[in-house]
Amino acid sequence: MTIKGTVVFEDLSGGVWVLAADDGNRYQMEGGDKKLLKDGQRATVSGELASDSMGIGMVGEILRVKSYVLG
Amino acid sequence: MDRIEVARVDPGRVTEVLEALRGDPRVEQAEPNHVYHALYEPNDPRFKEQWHLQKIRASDAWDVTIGKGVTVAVIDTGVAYEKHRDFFQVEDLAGCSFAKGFNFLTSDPHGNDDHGHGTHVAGTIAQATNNKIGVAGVAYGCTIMPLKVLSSQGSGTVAHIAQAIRYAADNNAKVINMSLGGPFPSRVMEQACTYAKSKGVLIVCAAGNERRDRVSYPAAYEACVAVSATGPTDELAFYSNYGDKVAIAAPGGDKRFGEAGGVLQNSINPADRTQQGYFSWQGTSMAAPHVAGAAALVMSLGVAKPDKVLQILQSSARKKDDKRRFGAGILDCYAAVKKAKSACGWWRLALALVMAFLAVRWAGSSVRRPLWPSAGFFVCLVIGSSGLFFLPQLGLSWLPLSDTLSTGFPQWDVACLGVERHASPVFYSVAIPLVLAILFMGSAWRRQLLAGFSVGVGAHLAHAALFALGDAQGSLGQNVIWLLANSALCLLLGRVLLKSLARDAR
Repeated sequence: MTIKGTVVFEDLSGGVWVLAADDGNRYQMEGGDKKLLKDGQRATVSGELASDSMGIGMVGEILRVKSYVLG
Repeated sequence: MDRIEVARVDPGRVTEVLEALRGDPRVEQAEPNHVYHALYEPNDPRFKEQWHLQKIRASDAWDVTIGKGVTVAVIDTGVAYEKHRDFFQVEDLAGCSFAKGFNFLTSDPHGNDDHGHGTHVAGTIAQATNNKIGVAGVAYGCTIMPLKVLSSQGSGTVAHIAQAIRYAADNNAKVINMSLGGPFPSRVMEQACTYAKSKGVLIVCAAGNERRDRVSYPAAYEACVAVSATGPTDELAFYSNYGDKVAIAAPGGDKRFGEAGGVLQNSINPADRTQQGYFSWQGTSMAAPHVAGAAALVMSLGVAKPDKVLQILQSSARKKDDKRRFGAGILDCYAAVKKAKSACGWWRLALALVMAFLAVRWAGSSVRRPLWPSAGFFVCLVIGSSGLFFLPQLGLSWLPLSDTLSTGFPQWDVACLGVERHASPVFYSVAIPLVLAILFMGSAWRRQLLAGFSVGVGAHLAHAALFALGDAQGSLGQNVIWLLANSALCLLLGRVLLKSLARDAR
């Protein structure tokens, strides 16, 4: 799936990378490189929802990043 | 001439006496002389910043127990607990007790931390306390089992998490802390939780940080205890989930009140894992380990059934009106351990008196003269069964060895043999009363003491079998059949000793 939103470094649990989607959903990010993982970065991220995973963020589902387009 | 006087005043009259003193023109200054028990305020320099430990009255609880003998499994990103390759032990975990753990990502026994989350969580549970450095932890005498299932980014598969839950249950962990979760259930994980609970493990989980009326999984499972997070003003933290499934609330931090509003523990820096520091973090992740530590404190006093532990934690929590946000209320460690100690102590003493009655009747039934147990018999009965469990309530916990004296004799195994050997089959049997009886049965008054001691130990074992350890599997000393058989032998030994007294008295 493809999600458009803002990458946020959420101050929860010591720090988790979250994609705050424009539709209001929030996802804990798994994967992604230094160019994407920047606090405040706008991006359209393609990936899959890791329904078999759990994480420390507990802000929503976990999004396994496959590719992205910045901006 | 300047003089400083210290006066002993009845606690209820302090204000009255202070006013009278201050009104006296000869008195320059009068104030209460706060006596700090060595453990009431630990010497950790940054303890004063840990508002979250003060909220749950942890330092008062340490007057009763520090959690020795209980293993808490931390299923997380790992723990910075040892020097291994590039990993190191953070300074304020030095001296803590660790059980063999496992790294499920690399399949080896090194559950080291490459994020920081797991170490911070472990710190809340068991940070080295009163060691003159850093900060403190809720149950600093307990044993931490580091189980790494989450990656350096803080996520992991339900398969690994389920394996870790089973590993913990199969390796004698009594509490599991899972500061992790997701919005959807997993049958595999649910079954692992049910299995662990059936083996006597209390599973404490974070309620989740979605700010909504829905508790995350695994916290929402029947077998798990869901913990919501409060901040420095005892209100629900802005990020915390809530709902029907919340069992209890505990401090998780709320940095809307500033950096100091978080939970402060020693960990590695997630931005630079070669560095360690003291970090103030917030999250239901930080709330859950306060409850896990409290559970360890309660279990160390002899309460082993998870449902009973939860009942004690919930019934002693600080009540808040909103059950959906706070569950039974905000965690109160001191109230919880007092309740646990009292409950176990009274049960053991009651059993001891019943068994003493049986022993005396049984011994006396075959002789014509009535048999009266001496005062010494009863003193040893108490030592063997419940110990002087009321010492803290009488304000006498400053006495040397009070921690040991205030539990029944079999529980002295932790003090004598160390944490790892708790529920030792030597202490949890008729062995020691028998050896003592053989060595010292020379005179009549000694046989009274030995009889009381033997029956007392028998009562402690019967309590362990019936109410506490009976459900948990583990060493021989925790086996129900072993405990009941030895309890019966202790009663028999008591009877034999008393009967020999009645016979000799004729």
